[in-house]
Amino acid sequence: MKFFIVFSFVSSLIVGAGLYASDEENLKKQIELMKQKIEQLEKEKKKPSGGGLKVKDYDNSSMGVSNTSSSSTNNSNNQQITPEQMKLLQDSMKKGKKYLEERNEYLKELENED
Amino acid sequence: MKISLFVSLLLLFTSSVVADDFTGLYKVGSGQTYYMKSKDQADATVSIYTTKVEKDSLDIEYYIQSQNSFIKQELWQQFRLEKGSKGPLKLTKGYILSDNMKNPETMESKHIKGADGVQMTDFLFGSFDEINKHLKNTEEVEVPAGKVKAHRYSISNNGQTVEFWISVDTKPLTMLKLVSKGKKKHHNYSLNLETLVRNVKAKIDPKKSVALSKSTRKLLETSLK
Repeated sequence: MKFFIVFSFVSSLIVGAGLYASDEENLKKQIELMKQKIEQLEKEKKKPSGGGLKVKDYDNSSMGVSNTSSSSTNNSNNQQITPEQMKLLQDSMKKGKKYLEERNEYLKELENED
Repeated sequence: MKISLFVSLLLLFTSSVVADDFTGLYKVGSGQTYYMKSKDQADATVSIYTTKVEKDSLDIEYYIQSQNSFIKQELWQQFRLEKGSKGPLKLTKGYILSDNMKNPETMESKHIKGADGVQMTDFLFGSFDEINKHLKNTEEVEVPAGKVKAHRYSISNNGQTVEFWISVDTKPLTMLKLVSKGKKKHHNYSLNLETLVRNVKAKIDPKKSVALSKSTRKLLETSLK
């Protein structure tokens, strides 16, 4: 009887300790999972929005012809002009000349109205 | 007019995603660059980025540069958007600077109203629920900036059909693509997202702005007609 009582006491201790240990283990796991979740959220927060979309960094300079800074790669520099590009350039020059004439005409009209 | 429509659509979606505070939604210097193709005008790139973010107001700057043209034309415009108690955002201040101006010029309220597109068709300033009636599909869309899943909307009005794609992956606001078609020449144009932009410094300093010159006023009034 005494043995039984001691055994049950010891076994309840073992079970109790086991439960305690598993609770503690669960708790640790939960804390670990929470930490991981927080880290993941932090990482997502730091990620630039747009997922896989291309991003150009202007490094705190304003946009305009004088501003050419960009982190994106542009391989068009230092390359020889292709026949297609030459044709585009020639077409643009023709369009540009026409545009310039129209713009000058319009500005003259504005001046005359003044 | 095309820019106005585009601005109006952006404003519409901006207003639809407005939270209690702008500061949590927008980051200064961030925005988008679009490539705009048009039948009746030279191609252009249109960049839109925030220049100042406050709780109830948002300053945005536009940089428009002509493409495919011998003469590069540049234009910057800055607007202040303010939250009212309800309804869409309001444009309250506007500045303009072009490559042939020494200082930015302060736009007058009638020109800001024009840029706001207030007189434009009803759908532009309808509620988000109203716009959602025009949702056609959710699909993968490829633009020069990349490939993402987006909502496709289609709206027709006065012989013009505007189809546009809004990405839900790139919150708070990203219009990925817009295609406008119609019988009139100026109805036919498209916009495609080229790239997202970061850390852009404002070109226009409102403190340095001067009153609108006669020639700028005339140009603005002509463009609004």
